[in-house]
Amino acid sequence: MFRKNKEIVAMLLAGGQGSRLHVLTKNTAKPAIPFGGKYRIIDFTLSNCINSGIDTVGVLTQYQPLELNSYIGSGVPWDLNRLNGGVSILPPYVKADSGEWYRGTANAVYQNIRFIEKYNPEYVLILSGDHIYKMDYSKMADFHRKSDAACTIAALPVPIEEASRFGIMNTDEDGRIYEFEEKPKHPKCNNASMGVYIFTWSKLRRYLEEDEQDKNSRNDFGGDIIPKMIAAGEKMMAYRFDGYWKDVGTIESFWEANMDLLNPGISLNLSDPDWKIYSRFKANVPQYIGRHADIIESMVTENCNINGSLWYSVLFSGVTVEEGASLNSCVVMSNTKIGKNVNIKYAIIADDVVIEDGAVIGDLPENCRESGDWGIAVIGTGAVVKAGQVVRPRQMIEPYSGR
Amino acid sequence: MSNFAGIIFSDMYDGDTNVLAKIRALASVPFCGRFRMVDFMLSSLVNAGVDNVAVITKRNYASLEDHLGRGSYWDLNHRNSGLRLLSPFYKTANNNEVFLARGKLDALRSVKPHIEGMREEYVVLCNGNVIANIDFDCVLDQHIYSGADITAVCAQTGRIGENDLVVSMDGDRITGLTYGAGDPSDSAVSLGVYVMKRTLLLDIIRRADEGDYYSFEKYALIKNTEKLNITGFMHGRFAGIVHTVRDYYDVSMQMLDRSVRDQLFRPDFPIMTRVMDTVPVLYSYNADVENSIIADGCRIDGVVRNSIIFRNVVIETGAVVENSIILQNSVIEGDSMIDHVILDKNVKVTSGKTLRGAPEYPYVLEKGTVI
Repeated sequence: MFRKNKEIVAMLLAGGQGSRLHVLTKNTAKPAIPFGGKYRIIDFTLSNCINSGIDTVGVLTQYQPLELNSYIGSGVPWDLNRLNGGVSILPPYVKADSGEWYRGTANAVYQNIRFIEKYNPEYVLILSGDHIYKMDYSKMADFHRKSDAACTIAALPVPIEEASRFGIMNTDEDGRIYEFEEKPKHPKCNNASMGVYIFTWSKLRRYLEEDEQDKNSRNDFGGDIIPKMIAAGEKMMAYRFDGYWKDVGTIESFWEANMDLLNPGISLNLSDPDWKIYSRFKANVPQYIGRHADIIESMVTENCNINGSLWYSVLFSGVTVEEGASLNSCVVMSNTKIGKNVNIKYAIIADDVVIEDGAVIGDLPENCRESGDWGIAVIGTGAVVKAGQVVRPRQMIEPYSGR
Repeated sequence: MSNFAGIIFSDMYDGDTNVLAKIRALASVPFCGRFRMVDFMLSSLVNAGVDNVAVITKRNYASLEDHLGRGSYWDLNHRNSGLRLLSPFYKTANNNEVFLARGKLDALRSVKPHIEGMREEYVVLCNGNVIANIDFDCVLDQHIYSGADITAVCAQTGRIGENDLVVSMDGDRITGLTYGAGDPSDSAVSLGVYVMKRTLLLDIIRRADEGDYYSFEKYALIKNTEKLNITGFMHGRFAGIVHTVRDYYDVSMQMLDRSVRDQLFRPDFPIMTRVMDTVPVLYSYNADVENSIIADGCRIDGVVRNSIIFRNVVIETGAVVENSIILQNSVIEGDSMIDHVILDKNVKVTSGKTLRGAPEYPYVLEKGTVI
């Protein structure tokens, strides 16, 4: 489409540090973290955009952007290399009279008002680059258009005991939001915000500019912009989403989301031809499964050489598993080498790791009931786990250690 | 800019004995789970910095065209030069009748304007049915320093069929070339890769026009071993040549050998191919896989042994696949058994069927068959 004006421009927030992912985000931004064998977290939102017919996406980067920048490139894998629109990487930059880091999510969008104005959009879609889900934003936009709202927020029912981790929306029966509480101690309902917002651009622009003048504001969508709009009596709607959605901001949730891919009962179908998840795929050699391999309920991708046992594990490209090694409930990222008779349970092994023969990593939760000290073990990028070394559950090995 | 231009022949003009190449160019026959045969020569050229490559088609080249596109997967979509697909038709000099090329020399005659327009000093001719990762940097160096008129890349492939050209050598110089004769264990065959000056190639084409010669090997090489200095370059790593279905089966099965894969798929000299959006392989509770190559997008719920499974194949629970090659999008339903079978794309074996070929005669099911 060669129209200069775009009805919707998506702004994808990808600058967060993701500090709760610890060693996994030491050298890369959270959205660039590998996920599900051959994807990265940001592929889900980028693919959702193009599958929803949104071809203009600004990616706001700040923390450790190098890997993310080169990964997105000109956007070819997501069909986002367009003459008009497409994907643009938007780092903070110096202006004539000022120049500063992005202070908050709203400030990041504020600093890119000129980018948005170039396309003269009706609506702006605000997204996070760290969620795993498949969603048709065009349906949400239809809802927003029909309800003539200033802002529509995607809402997901969550278990009430987890509700205090989210932004919670209290709505009337028509779905109109009368109260938005960011991580409330005592949530009144379980309507959680997914961090997906559609704003009518003329309204949002005004609130962004006003918020910028407010010296006490943290310039955050959930904490500042949305409460201010509600207080001013703007029409704010909740849009109910029923599919699979996961914030992969912690080690546990990242591990769980990977395991969810092995669960046929979960509706995140990666192989749906009508809603593909695109990624910067490489021309790797197909995987080779050796004579001593034993693989069940697992996901394995190209360039792997498997000669050990895999149970409930997700392997990325180029992983080697030698004879006698056994993996149970593991996520193993690209080009990691797992030696003979290695035993790994409930662990995340980052890329380019070497696990030497006979090492033992992690344990089953049921074996740790007495100590109560169970958790996913994590081995950082490029680390070497020496022959026979034992890595306890919940232990984290720093990137490039042991070399 | 490289001083070498590449030309790859998509077909071999030797009687079309390969049923897999009936519906597609031989060079676009799928190979090793996700590749097409043309990828090997194309990637070898690109890895040596060659950035002007033409692929001469014969007929049925839709699948080849689809695969190659504008060459972006081989980093050949340049503003200038890059990848070109050349049409297969050959026009006689005196009248305007159009023929299909009868041999590689005919094909070269038909693309003479392309060769005349090249700015490179040397030309590399390659066959699209060769499975090898050739170090062209060394080949080209040897060609220049040896002063040879033609450098032919040769290898011991361990198998000699009637279409294989066996070389006799005196030192580095090739003194004779014979089809199909020789002891496979110690004879080298030509891989159909010939390096020469562009001016020499144009000269060969001009003479072929005069005499209406159409076979490159017969006219330009076999007849000229005395007149031209034809030097051999021994490719020391794995090489396979696919003419027949039997060749295809045997060379494919060699991919199950780790040392063969290591010689072919070298991290610094990658074999590039068209990239599709396929998901990782999902193995279910009933999967049982041994000594097999499995491409992405497959769902494996059954038994797979000593086989090569292409993309997006489904092997259902209770199915047993042994010693077979299954091309993409095929489905093996539950409780069926296949052994020594080659399934072309989109084949469906419904439940409870048993299909069995023999090692010497793999049974082939054509594209789209439902059985």
